Amino acid sequence: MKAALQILTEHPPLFPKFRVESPEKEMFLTLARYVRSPPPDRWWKRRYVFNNTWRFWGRHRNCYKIAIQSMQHAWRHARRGRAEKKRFVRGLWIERLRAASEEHGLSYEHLVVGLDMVQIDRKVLSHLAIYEPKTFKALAEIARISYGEGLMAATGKQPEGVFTRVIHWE
Amino acid sequence: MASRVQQHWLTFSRMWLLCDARWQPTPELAKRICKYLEGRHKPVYHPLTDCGDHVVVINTKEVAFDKNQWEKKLYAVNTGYKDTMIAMSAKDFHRMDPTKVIEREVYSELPKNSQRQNLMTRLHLFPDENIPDNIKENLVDIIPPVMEPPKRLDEFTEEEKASWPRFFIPPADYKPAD
Repeated sequence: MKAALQILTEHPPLFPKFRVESPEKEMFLTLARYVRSPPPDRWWKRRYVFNNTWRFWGRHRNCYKIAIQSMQHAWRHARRGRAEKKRFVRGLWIERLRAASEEHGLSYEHLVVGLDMVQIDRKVLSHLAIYEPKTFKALAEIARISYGEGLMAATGKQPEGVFTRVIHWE
Repeated sequence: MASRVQQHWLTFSRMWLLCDARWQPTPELAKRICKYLEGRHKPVYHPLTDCGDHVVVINTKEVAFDKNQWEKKLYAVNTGYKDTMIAMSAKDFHRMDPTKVIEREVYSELPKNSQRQNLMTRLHLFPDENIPDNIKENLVDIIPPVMEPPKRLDEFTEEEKASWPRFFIPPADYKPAD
């Protein structure tokens, strides 16, 4: 233990860094890891960065000091973008549903409130509006009646101009 | 049914739509025209697919403004000379060119990106109902109006006037106080 501590005081480990609360704990914890898996040398460390920045422009591609920053910025933008994409795509579904419901003489708000109990999400509804127009027309009729008179009134009767296959439950 | 490719072409083909601007409120009309120019009336809308339609507006000289906007609203006009910029009231601007008011309104309602100039070229404005024949051939559908123009008293039929609900029916010898 004493010899190990002496080694660490002379050659403190630079990479990887383990963040702990106090310096005494740091020495105590990193000793085991230092012995079991010595830190990678410089070439490998930089190779990891250049594998991520091979398609960047100029010095951001080949110079480590600049590339590491570019890589970190890119990762931050990607993390932010993953959250924004979800928001953008949901907005697109809502906009498409607004257009599709206007085609049937409904507003988007009426459609969503009318189909509240029907539990189809906006993603699938917008897909139906594009690829299954007759199904969407039936859903719009259900929403129209359900908004005014409730779901029981809508599902009890057959909407006009729509063919439904009757399912018998035993 | 048509093949997949043909169906794709039919879905994304550009329509020519007619809009009558007679007695329509200008800012609401501009918003509606923007919607059709961008393609937001289609369930297949996406900002990256250029899915907007052509809009032909007739009777632009009969477009309406609210309250006293004709006198109050000002448009910045470039004279071509340096250091002189004229602020014209909507009335004078409309008198100068009857299509420019709607053009300016639609331009300001469109999203402020590089598509704006492109979409303005798909807007065709005519002061009255005379449209060139090559545009008339293309027209497919009508944009629903923002507001139904109000009827004058002489445009109502006698039956409608008689059946209109009244608050109270005055006696025969009733004379209103001056």
